[in-house]
Amino acid sequence: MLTRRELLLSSAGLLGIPRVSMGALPQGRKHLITVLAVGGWDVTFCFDPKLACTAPGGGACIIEGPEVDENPNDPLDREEIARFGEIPVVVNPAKRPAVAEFFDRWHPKAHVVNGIWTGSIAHDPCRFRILTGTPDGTRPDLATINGHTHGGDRPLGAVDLSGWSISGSLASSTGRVGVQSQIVALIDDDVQFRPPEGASFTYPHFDPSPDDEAAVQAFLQQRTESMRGVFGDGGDNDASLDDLLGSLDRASRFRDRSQDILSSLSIGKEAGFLLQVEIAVDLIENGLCHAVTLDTQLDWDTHDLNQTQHDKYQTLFTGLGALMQALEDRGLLEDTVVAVLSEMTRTPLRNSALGKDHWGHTSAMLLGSVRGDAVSGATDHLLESVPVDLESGAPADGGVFNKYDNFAAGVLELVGVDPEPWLPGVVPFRGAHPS
Amino acid sequence: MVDPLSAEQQLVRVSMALRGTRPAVGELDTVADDPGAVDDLVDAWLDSDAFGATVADLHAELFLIRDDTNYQLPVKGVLENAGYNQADVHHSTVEAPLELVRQVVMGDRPYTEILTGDYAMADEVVADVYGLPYDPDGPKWQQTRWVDGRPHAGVLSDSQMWRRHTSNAANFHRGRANFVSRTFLCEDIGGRDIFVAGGVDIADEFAVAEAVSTNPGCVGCHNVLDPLAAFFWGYKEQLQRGAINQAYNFDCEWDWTQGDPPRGDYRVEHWCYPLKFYDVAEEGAWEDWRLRAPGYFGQPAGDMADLGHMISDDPRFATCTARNFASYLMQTDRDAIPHTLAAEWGDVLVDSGFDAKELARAIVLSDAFTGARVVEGDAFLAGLQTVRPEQLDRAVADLTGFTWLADQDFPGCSSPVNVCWDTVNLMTSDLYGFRSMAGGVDSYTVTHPIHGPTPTRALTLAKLASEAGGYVVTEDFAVPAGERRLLTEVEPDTVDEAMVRAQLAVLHLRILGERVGPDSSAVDLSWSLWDGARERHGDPVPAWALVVSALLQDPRMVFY
Repeated sequence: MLTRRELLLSSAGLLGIPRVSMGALPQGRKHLITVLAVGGWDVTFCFDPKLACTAPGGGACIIEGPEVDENPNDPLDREEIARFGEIPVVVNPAKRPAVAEFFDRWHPKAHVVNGIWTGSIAHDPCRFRILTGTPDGTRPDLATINGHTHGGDRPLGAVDLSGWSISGSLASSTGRVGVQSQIVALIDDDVQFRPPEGASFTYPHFDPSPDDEAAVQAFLQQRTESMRGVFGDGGDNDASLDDLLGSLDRASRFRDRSQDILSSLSIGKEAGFLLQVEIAVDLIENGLCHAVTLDTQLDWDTHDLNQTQHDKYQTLFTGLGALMQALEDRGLLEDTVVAVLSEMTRTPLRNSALGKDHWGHTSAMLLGSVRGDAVSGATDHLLESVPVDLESGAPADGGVFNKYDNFAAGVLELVGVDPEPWLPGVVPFRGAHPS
Repeated sequence: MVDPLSAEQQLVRVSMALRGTRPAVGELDTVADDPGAVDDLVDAWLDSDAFGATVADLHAELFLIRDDTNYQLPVKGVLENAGYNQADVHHSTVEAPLELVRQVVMGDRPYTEILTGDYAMADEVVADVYGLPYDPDGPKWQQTRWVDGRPHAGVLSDSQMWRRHTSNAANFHRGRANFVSRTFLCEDIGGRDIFVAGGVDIADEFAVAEAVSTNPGCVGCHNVLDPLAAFFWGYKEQLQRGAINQAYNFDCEWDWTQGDPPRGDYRVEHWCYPLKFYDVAEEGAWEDWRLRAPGYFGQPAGDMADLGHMISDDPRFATCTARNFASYLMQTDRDAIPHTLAAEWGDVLVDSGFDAKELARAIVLSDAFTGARVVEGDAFLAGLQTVRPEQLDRAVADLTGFTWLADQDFPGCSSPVNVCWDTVNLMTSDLYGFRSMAGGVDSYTVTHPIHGPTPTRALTLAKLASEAGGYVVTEDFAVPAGERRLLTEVEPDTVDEAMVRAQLAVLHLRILGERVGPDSSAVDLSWSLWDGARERHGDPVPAWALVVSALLQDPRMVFY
C-alpha cells in the first residue's frame, strides 16, 4: 500500500518539479508578509535618525543613539545618516553593513513610517496593538485578516512561522508550525517521534493509508452535518461546525501540498530567520497560503547592553534583503506588502546597565507594493510621535497622531482589505498607499 | 427560548468541563434512567483528582505560567547533584503555585486562601531551588515557608509567579501590579492607552519617576498602579538563566576587589542555588525613587500579606473569580459574561464561604452552560465547547490507555549543560509537542487559547487519534474480552456484521456518549467505514484501529 508521500510523489510529482506559480492576484488584493522584531527595536539605529538632532530653540538633543557605541580606533565604525533616494537612514559600514546594502537596492520599494504611537509601554499590550490595531489579544492580527479575506482558495489563509501571530476568531483559516517545527511530524509520514527510552514500541502505532484518511475525512464530514440536527442554531454553533468542516478540508489540502516546502524544517529545531524567509516565499508562491508571519528569532528587548541592537539590525536586514530578492525573483513583489514591525522603540537615554527601556512609540517599514522611496511621520527631539496628516503621512501642525490603529487600518487597506469591519471608525493611515 | 441538552449530552459536557474525560458508560446509564442524577454525579466529580487537574489547568492559563519555551532555570549545583533534569526543574517550579491553588480548592478551603495562605508550597525540587524546609519522608507536595523574610500571601509570594511576570528596570514592578489587578480584580489598568503629552525630562530618571505623580496624563493610572507596585519591592526584577550560569562561572562568590558585580544590585551570591529571589533590604526601595508607598486603591497598607487580604476582601475579587472560572469552563471571554451572571455566581462563591467547587457547580449546572441552542430570542449560552489539549490528553488516556509520550532530546543534551527533558507528553508541551498548536496557550508567545477548530488542531488530533487507535486495538486484542478497554464485543477475526455493529454501538456510547442502536444511521456510517477498511487491508484489526481513530476525531469528540 502506498504511503501518502509515495502517492504524492507518483501522482503529483511534487519533489524535484518546478513549483507552480499561482499567477498574478486580482487588482488591489495583496499578500501580506509580516516580519517581527519582537522585544522593541531602537529606531535611532536605523529608521529614525537622531544623530546631532536639536531641541526646540536650537539646544542639543539628548538622545543617545548608536553613535555612543563607536570605537574611536576603528575608522570604519562610524555612524552617519545616509540618504537612499528620499529615505534618510542611519548606517554604519562596520557594524550594520546590511542596512545600507538593503536600502541601496530596495529603497524604491521601501516606505518608512516613523512616529507610530503605540499606546502602551508593555510588551504584550504593545504587541497586541501593533499586530491587531486593538488592545485586545484575542482579535485577529493583520496577517490573519489578510489571509482570511483573500486566501479562501488556498489551503490556509495565513501561516505563522513566528509563533507570535494572533489568529483570534479567524483561527480556522490559519496554521502554526510549532516552536521546534513540530508541524513536520503531522504532515510527513516519514517523520516520527522517538518513543521514551526503554519503551517496547516504536511510532506509529497505526499508519492509515491515504485511502483510509479519505474515508475518515468523508466520515467526519457526514458526522459533522448530522450534529446540526441537535446543535444547529443559525449562529455560533453552526459557525463552529462550519469551522470544523473548513479546518478538516484545509488541513487535508495543506498536508497534501506542503511536504516538499516544509521538508527543510527539522523537527526539534527552530527555523531561523533566513529559513523562514525561504519557506514564506515558497508557501505563497505555491498557493499554500496568502499571508505569513515571520520572526527574526532575536530578542530585541535590550534593557542590558543596547549595543547589541547593531547585530540584530544586521540580521534583520540580511533577511529582508533575501526576502525582497526572492519575492522579485518569483514575480511576487508587486503582489505583496511586507510589514516590518516591532511593538515599541526604546528610551532615548541608556539606563545604568547601558541598556534602554520601553518607549511608547515606534517605527515600521512597509515594502513591496507601497509608495516607495518615501518616509511618513516623524518624532521630535524626545523621540515622541508628532502629529501627521493621515492621508499623506506628512507631519502636520493640526494633524493627528498616527496611532497603532490608524497604522493597522492603513496596512489593511494597502493589502486590499476593508478595515472598517475589523477596526470600526478608525481613519486609516494612507501615507504609504501607492498613488 | 433555549433548547436544553439531553441529560446524557449534558453529562458529556459537564464531565469534559470538570474532568476532561468522557463519562463512563455506567454514568451515562444512570442519567438515562434518572436525569436528576446529574447533580449527584457533579458532586462526585468535583471531588475527583481529574477536577483537581482542571483547577490547575485553569490557573495555569490564568497565571500564564506553564511556559516551557522560554528561559528555564539551569540545572546547576545542588540541582545537578540531586540528579534532576530540565523537565524536573521546569515542572516543579511552574506547578508550585498551581499546586497551592489545587490543594486549597480540593481541600474545601476558602478560595481566598490562594492569596492569604501563610505558607509556601514545595516539592523536593522547589525546596532545593529556593532552600525551603522540606521533609523527604513526607508527601511529594508539602506546605513549607519562605525563609528569606518575605511576607506570606499564597501565590502572591511564590517566586515562580514573579519569575514569569518580570519587572524591568524602569518599570518599578508596575507590570506585576497590573498582573495582580487584571488577574484577581478584572481591572486591566495596563490595557488602557497611555500618552504623555508634552514629554517628560527624560534626562533625569527621577524626573520620569516623579512625572507619574504629577503629570496629568499619568496620575490617573499611576495613583492606583504605583501603590500596588510598591508591594513588590523586595522581589528581584527577574531571574534569568544566563545570570545563574554566570554566577556559577564566578563560583558563586564575587571578588569584591573587582568592584561591583556586572549588575550592581544583582549579587552573584544570590544567583547560586538556593536562589535568593527576595531581599528584605530592598522592600523600601520605592522610597529611594520617590514613588508611592504600598497602598490598595487609596487605602494604606504594609506588605504583601496585607495585599492578599485586601484583595480577598474586595467585592471585585468574588465577581472576578466567578468570571475567571466561567470564562475557562464556558470558553468565553470573561468580559463577555453578562454582569448578572457574574454577580450571581460571585454571590454563590461568597455565600458558600468561597468554596470554589460550589462556584464551578453553579456554572456547569446553569442554563447558560447546559443549553444546546437558542431557538428564539436572545440568550447567553456557552454553546458548543471545543476540546482543549489538556482535556484531549486526559480523555484519550482514559478511553484508550494511550498517552502521547516521546523523547526528543538531542544527543549530548546532558553535557556540558543539562537541558534534557527526557520523556515529554506531546499534548501538554510546546517545546516539543502540540499544546498551542492544538488550541492551548504556551503562556509566552501564545497567551490566549483558541476555542474553535483550526487546521493545525485537526492535524494534531488526526495524528493523536491514529496513534491511540492503533495502541488500544493492539492492547485490547492481547487480553481477554473482559479486561479490555474498548473492544469488548469482538475478537480479531470477527467479521459477522451483527457483532461488529454491536461493538460499534458500544464504541459510540463509550467514546462519544452517544446512545445509538446497532442499526441506527450513526452505526451505518461507522459500519461502512469499518467494512471499507477491512476490505482494503484484508484484515479486521486495522479496520478497528481506523474506526477508533475516526471516533476520536468525531465532531462529538472535538465539541462537547
